[in-house]
Amino acid sequence: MADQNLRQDWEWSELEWGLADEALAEHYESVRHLETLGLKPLSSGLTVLIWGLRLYVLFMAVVVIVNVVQTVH
Amino acid sequence: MIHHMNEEDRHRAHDRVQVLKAYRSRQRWRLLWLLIGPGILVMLGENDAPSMLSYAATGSQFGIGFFLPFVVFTFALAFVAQEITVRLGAVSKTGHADLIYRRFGRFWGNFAMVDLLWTNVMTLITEFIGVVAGAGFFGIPAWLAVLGALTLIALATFSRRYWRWERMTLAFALFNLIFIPVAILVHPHWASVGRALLTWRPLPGGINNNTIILLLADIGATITPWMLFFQQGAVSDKGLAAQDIRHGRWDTAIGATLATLAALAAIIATAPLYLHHMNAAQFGAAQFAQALRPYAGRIGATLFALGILEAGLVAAMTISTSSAYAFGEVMRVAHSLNRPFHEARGFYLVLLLVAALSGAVVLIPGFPLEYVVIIVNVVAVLTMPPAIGFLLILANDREIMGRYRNTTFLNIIGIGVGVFVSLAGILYALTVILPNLKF
Repeated sequence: MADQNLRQDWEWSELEWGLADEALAEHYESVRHLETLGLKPLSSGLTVLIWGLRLYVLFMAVVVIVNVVQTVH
Repeated sequence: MIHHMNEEDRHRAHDRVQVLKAYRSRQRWRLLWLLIGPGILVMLGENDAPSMLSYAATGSQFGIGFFLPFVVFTFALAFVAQEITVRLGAVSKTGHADLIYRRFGRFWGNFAMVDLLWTNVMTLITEFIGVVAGAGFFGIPAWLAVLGALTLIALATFSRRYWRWERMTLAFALFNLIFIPVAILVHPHWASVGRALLTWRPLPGGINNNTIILLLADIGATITPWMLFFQQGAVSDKGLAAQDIRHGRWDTAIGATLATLAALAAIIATAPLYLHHMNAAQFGAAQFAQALRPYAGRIGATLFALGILEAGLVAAMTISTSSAYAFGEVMRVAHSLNRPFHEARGFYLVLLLVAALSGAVVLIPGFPLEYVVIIVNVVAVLTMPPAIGFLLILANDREIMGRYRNTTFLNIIGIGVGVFVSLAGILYALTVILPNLKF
């Protein structure tokens, strides 16, 4: 339940304070759950996929540089 | 519980109470009003200066036949990707960068951050190019335009409330629709517009490197990494809960619709330049506005220049915020627009410094403005495949998403988006490596 100063600042009804507690309970529950999350175990398929996508970006970065150089010249 | 909260949580609780009251009293329209924001902002924010200039270049070089339905298609792809960020943000209550670091570790998180940062900085530079070019049409010197934009960004940022920042930025973002009256002023043949949308004709002149760059620029005008980080960050900062996901989808759909209309309008507005065989390949914002004067009149040209200025300004606000959210999430420091400056110094300083540095780059004499504008969207597309990969893995993560994880149908569409974006990049690479290749 809220303290007196906050109650005076916001001038909420009991219903509204109840809703605030409800909203916060849901928020804090999600945050608590988030803190329990660790690293996701990646299957070999997913690892290959992520590496493939990373190499794709690196290759494309080189292509963009080549394209820019071609255009400038 | 509420007296233990910091200012960020108190503001969010205040907003949530309004939402829960609207749920209880079944005020559907008020609920929508309270919950919209991130989706519209991200979509209209992505209709930024380089995007609108890409659409203008498209209309002036290829007319409406191929590109009108193509742009509708790309916004449909953007909706698929952005809808996932709504669910991720509402369920996990944290940003995209934070989830990537938590679930994939620092090694992969750093890669994702590097992609985000270099595309964000490049894009931010082009936003200021848009601001400077748009302001230049009205005779405003570049330094004053940059200073004015930075002042507006600072004013919105220091409103100390996510809600206030969101509504101010939304008001600016709606000016993106200014391209619609410009399209009307050029008196297009509406039957041809309708036919173009329904029949999707092939590209005039076949496919070459220039065409592929414009194709990629138009894809990059709708799907980019910063959008994923921004919308998820904004959804969690706004305090959306799992029960709000349906409204988050509506928010994203409304944003996609408005942004599509503005993009189509930019293409239609500049199509007369194609019809009159004007070579607009190297046009910047001010030149487009000048070239449109014979077709759209003085008012139309002025609106076009204003539209580019506004597009740059809104995107500068959203992209610098996206960088700051990511910084805060990665460094695990306070990162909310609901926090006062002294509680989130790093977040606010990154937001303003990134904007200020990008604005300063534009003032460097001889900076190749027009080329950077087009290439930045291309770069954004090329960094998308891993971003979509992480997005889909997170959306299927049972531990994070629970019953809100992706369905098989959504996975098929999501993978389709990833494959399409990857193939577009490969096509671009082929035209660079083998310039004489014909399709």
